[in-house]
Formats: sequence, C-alpha cells, structure tokens
Amino acid sequence: MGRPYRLVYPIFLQPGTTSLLYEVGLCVFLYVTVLAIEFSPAALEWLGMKKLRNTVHKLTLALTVFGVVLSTLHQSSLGALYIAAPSKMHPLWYSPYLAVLFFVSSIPAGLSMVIFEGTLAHKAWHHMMDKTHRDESEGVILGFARGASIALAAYFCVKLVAVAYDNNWHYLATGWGAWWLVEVLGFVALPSLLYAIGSREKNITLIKWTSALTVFGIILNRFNVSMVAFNWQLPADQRYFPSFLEIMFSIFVVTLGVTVYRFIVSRMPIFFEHPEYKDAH
Amino acid sequence: MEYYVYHDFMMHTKSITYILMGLFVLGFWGMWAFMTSRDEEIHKFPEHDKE
Repeated sequence: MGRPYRLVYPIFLQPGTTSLLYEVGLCVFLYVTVLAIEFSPAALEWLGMKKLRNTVHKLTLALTVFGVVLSTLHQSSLGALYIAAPSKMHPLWYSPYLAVLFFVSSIPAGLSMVIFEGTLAHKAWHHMMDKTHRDESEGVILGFARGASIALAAYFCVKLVAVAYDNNWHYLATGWGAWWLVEVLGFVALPSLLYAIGSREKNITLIKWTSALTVFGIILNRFNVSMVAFNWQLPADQRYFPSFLEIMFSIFVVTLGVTVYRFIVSRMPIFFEHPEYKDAH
Repeated sequence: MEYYVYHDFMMHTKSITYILMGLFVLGFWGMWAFMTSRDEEIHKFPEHDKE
C-alpha cells in the first residue's frame, strides 16, 4: 500500500487472488493502462505520429467499454475491503452492501468531479478552448447535473435501506447518528435537491457550487468509513490518523497532478481539435 | 421491539425496507416530474402535430 513501484509483486510475482486488495491493485493497474491508451491519440497527434494515432483511434470503443467495466470493479472493491471488518466499523457506516454503496456513490462523484474540474478549466484555459468546446459545455453541465441528481437520490435510498436492513435506526439518536445525518442529509440529499433545482431552472452557477459540495461529501464519506467510523470503540489516541508526512505526500501527489495537467493542456489538443484532424472526433 | 427468532427480525426489517422502497418509487416519480416540468416539449413528428 502506498508504494506504486512495488505493483509488480501483486500483479506478476505473488498474486493473492483471494485478496480484495489484489483486485483493487489489478483494477488500478489495468485501468490506468487503459486510460493511458485512451488518452494517447491526443499525445500522438501532438507528436505527429499519424499512423500509430490512427491505429490507437480504432480501439477507442473497445477501450471505453473495458474502462467502464474496470472502474465499476475497482470502486466497488474499495468498499468491499471494509466488509472484512464488521466489528471495527460503526454500524451506521458498516453494511454487507458496502461495495454497492461505494459503487453507487462513485457515480455522482464522477459526474460532479467532471463539472467541478470543467469549471476550473474554463476559468484558467478558456482562451485555449475552441467554439465547439465552449458551445457544448453548458449542455454537458445540465445533462450531468440531472444524472448526478438522480444518482445521489439513488445513493440516499441505498443508504437508508442499509440502515433499515440491519435495523440500526436507534443509533440515529446518538452523537454518531447526528454525524451520519450531517453526511447523508447535508452532503447527499441536499446536493441531490440543489442539482434538481439547478437542472430545472438551468442555473449553471448553482450546479457548479453543488458539484463542489458533492465532491466534498463523497470525500467526507470515504474519510468517515476509513478513519472516523473505523475503530470507533477505541480511545482517540489509539486510532489511526495520517502522519504529517502522509498528509504532505498526498498534497504533493495532487500538486503533481495539477502540474502534469497544465503541461498537457497547454501543449496537446485537449480543448481544441488539431488542425490536421478537423472533424475527426 | 423484541425478536424471539431470526425470522421475527427479518420480518420486521424486510417489512420496513419494502415500505421504504414504495416511498422511494413515489419520490423518484415526483423528482422526475419536478426536474422535467420546465423542459421544452420535443416534437419528433411536427407534420403529425398539424393534423
């Protein structure tokens, strides 16, 4: 964990096929490879490698199908990791259906992240975007908002069913229940409603703010599952909290991502069509 | 509520879950009606509308 350069061990040297972490590793390994190949036509257009670009371009449909299947698998496996620890997690966050909860919540998270990232991209790189990109962005945002609203409503329903199925209603009257309600009402039900209003009124500003709220809410849920509600019965000093170096390393990885993103979009045809490939997309 | 056998527990939790499911279906119907109430009507066959 946390050492990507050792990925070769679980994949090729010592595959532990009964481990969920193996599935997570395998999915991430395959998914990152698929994403790199899916993205490569833009890089190959930039490099002027026409023959190879045309060959890779023909694989787009197959790679998209493969990518969707792999992301479905790895999001649910991340939740399934915690099924192994029913006694360590607070009952409001534990469910035998954690894999389903993680998968369903990843759908609005993905849609919201595209809206959120797109908003930032429009602020910083508006001058690089061609007319098609600018004209179509509003329609994409409205469509994604409607999808995210329904997906969040579905996630809200699954969360309630998880509580009903294990009859955990009485925990809602405790402090843990209050925190669960903050998460579920404030960061699942509220964004679902705001997306629905934004989509109905065609209010792009409201949708953009809601996307940030949703992304924050899903991050909060992952922190709740992995840290806050994990080992909830132990005293605070015996529970896991990331060290200073771990936090700094996480910030470094995000910063590196932003820097690589800047390098790519300022050089390669991401927001515009390459002059030699007009109408080829 | 007290449960004497596992069946009692399942009966109780499943009943609540089924009631919730019914409410969710109504909720989704209402939500869809709310979201699409201001959408422009799409005329796929305009010549048909004239008749």
